[in-house]
Amino acid sequence: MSVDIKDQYDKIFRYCYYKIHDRDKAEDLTQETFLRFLESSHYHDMGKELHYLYTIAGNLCADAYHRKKTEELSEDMSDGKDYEDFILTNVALGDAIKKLSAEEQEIILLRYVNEVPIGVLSELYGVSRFKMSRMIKQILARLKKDFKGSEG
Amino acid sequence: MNKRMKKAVQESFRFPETKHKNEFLMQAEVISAQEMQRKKRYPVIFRLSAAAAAGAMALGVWANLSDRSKPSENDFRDEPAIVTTTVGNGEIQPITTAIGNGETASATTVNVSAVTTVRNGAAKTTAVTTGTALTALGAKSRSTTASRSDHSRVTTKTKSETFTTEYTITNEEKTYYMKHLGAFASAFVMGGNAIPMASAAEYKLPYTRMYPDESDIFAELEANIDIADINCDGVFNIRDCYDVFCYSNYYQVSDTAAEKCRAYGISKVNDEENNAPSWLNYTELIRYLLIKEGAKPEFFSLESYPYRDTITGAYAPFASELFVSAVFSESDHLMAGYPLISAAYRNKRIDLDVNADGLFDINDYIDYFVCTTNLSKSKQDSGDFIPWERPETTVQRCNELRSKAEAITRDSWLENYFVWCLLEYTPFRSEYAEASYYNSIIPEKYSRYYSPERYFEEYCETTGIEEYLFTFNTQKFNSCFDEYCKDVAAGRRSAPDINLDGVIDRSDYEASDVYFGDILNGRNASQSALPPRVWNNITSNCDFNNNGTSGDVYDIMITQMYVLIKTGESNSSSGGSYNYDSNMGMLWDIDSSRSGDVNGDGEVDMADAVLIMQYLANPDKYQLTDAAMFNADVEGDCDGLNSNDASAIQRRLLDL
Repeated sequence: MSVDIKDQYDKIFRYCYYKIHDRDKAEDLTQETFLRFLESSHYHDMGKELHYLYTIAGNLCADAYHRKKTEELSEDMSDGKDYEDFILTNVALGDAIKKLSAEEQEIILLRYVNEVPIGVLSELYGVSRFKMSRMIKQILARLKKDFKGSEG
Repeated sequence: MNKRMKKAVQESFRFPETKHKNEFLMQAEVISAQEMQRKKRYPVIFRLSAAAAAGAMALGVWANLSDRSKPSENDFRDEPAIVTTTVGNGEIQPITTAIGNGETASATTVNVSAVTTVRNGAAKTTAVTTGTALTALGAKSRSTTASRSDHSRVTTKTKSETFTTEYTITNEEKTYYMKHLGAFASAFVMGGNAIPMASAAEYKLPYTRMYPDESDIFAELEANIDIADINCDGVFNIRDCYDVFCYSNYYQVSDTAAEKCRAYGISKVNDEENNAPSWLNYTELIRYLLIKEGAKPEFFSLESYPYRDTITGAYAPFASELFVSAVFSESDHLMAGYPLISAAYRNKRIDLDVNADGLFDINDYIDYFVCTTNLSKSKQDSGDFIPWERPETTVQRCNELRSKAEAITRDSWLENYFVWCLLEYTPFRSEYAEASYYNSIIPEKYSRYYSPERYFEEYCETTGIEEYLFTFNTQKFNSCFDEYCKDVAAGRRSAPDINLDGVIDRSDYEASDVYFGDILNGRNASQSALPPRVWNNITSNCDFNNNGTSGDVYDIMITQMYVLIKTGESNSSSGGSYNYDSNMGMLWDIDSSRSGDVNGDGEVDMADAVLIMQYLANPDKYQLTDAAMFNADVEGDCDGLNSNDASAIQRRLLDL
């Protein structure tokens, strides 16, 4: 699988931003992700570029999150709820998405916003493609149910 | 998921714009690094082939444009011309031969030495670079005759001295032929790249072990098996080979055998006056027998060959031993000893679990390979070789295994046989043939000294096992599925309770799904979502089609089809997470007919369901066209491919 940095830049940024809730920091992490990715040639030889790209980004975000927890809380730091309100614009569907677990939200983001293939998602979450496909199906079923409920 | 819902989800998320994307991308290091990586991904051979194909196409276009005086002359019926193509001087060279189970397949090339073109009475000779043309592949027939039209003739006689093609056309032939030559060359070059696997997928013996002219010899023997029955007992077996061996080496044979040997003029050692056919000798008979029947323990037993006194009265106690040595030698050359090793493993005469973890798997092979490499390196000047030391018990067990295996067969292919055993008794994973797979197993410090993947590469290349395991043949499936159902109904075989819960239900279907994904993704029992007990059961005890491999694609499909029949599951009656119709149903707004014909063969059958599963498991390898993706999405409208689509096709085939 070939990875086009131009295409993936925004997607990795969205992923980092979703994880870290800070635009500047997310962009730093995005660039750091690509630099590490390009420096490590064996990532490319294994044919799993997208998988490793998200793995690197996820690890960097996790590191950044842990560092952030040790820093002093700043006044402009918003809590998670406000943040979700910020990025989820569609009220009805946003409410439905917010009812999902963090992992399920992330899967929805990756699959339908970043358009990550199911195969890569399954590798990222350590499940089979079939199971991932079913998980997405179930998430969407719940979304639809909640969505219908809020509309009705 | 339909487009509207997908768009709604996408629009539900709002992200800020990036600030420094362009600056980052403009950095030369980033771009150049990516370009270098992109170039590295394509092997030189593919780039050369692509260039050759492009060149050939360009040649065709060039010839078409430069020689065409007027566009309308493309109609070849206007102007008569005669083209005579004389090919070769009768040299026939089998280049690809696969032998096993008594079957022969050959590909014949004919040297192309000249192509003469005559047009309108004015002879014009066109020099053509000497090359080869593939005339037959995998066919037993020795001659082919075909007609292009009423006034044309194509005759191939591979036994004769010439290969002649004559036909009449009425066109400006260069334009016509260059176009088609260009297209043919392109197709040939590209097609050549698409044949990495040999056509000998069904054969155990690698065709590369055959001598160039042996296919003809064996075909001759096959057609006249009475020739080989030297002792006239009605069957051709190892005793016939032994009789010829004894006769050739001046040992005593029965009068019947001696008479037949003389009748056929079988030559004796150092007998220059004898003009018998060179192929009729004990070596070829032994090789033919090994290929035809496979190696058997009795072939290598001295007790099988009674002592032969010499005609001259001289004491010759070594006839039996010499013959056994000859059999060993030919067996070694043909790599024919594998059945003995495989049988020894089944009979527990050898233990391939060299790391003694209770499971015969890829780790045992790696340990054996590393120990063997260390041993061979220790016997020679190994330079900067740094051995990856294995536990002492493992080394000891490897040495014991080697000793026992060498006692069974003196073949020098034990590493190959270890791989064959692994592939025969455990699920095949394509990653085994990739060096990167071993990077996580062999420490980086030592990895450059070991290449355990090469034996897998060899086997994949020579036997096409990958294609064999993952190519689904609908007719074959139907046959073995019917047989399996009959056996289960008659109580001869157990139902596919692969998850060992005592009932045949949807959970068996699910387990087979997960397992199929596991083997395609290279996951083992510990990495699978399935319980190890279930995973190992599928690996070991679920060879429903009796092809020697438990858990291959046929076993998976047999399980799933059986469950669907047994449970009588249908769209409307299924519940829980399998109630597909209720799943996002109201959001589907596309009303299009989707045939389910994924592979585009015009029929909806099991191969389509398998192709969907293969695509889901490994979309990089099993790519689908847009049309195939559309047709495959039969379960729900436009919600993307998933296992439900494969399930829907299966249900449709069962009329459920």
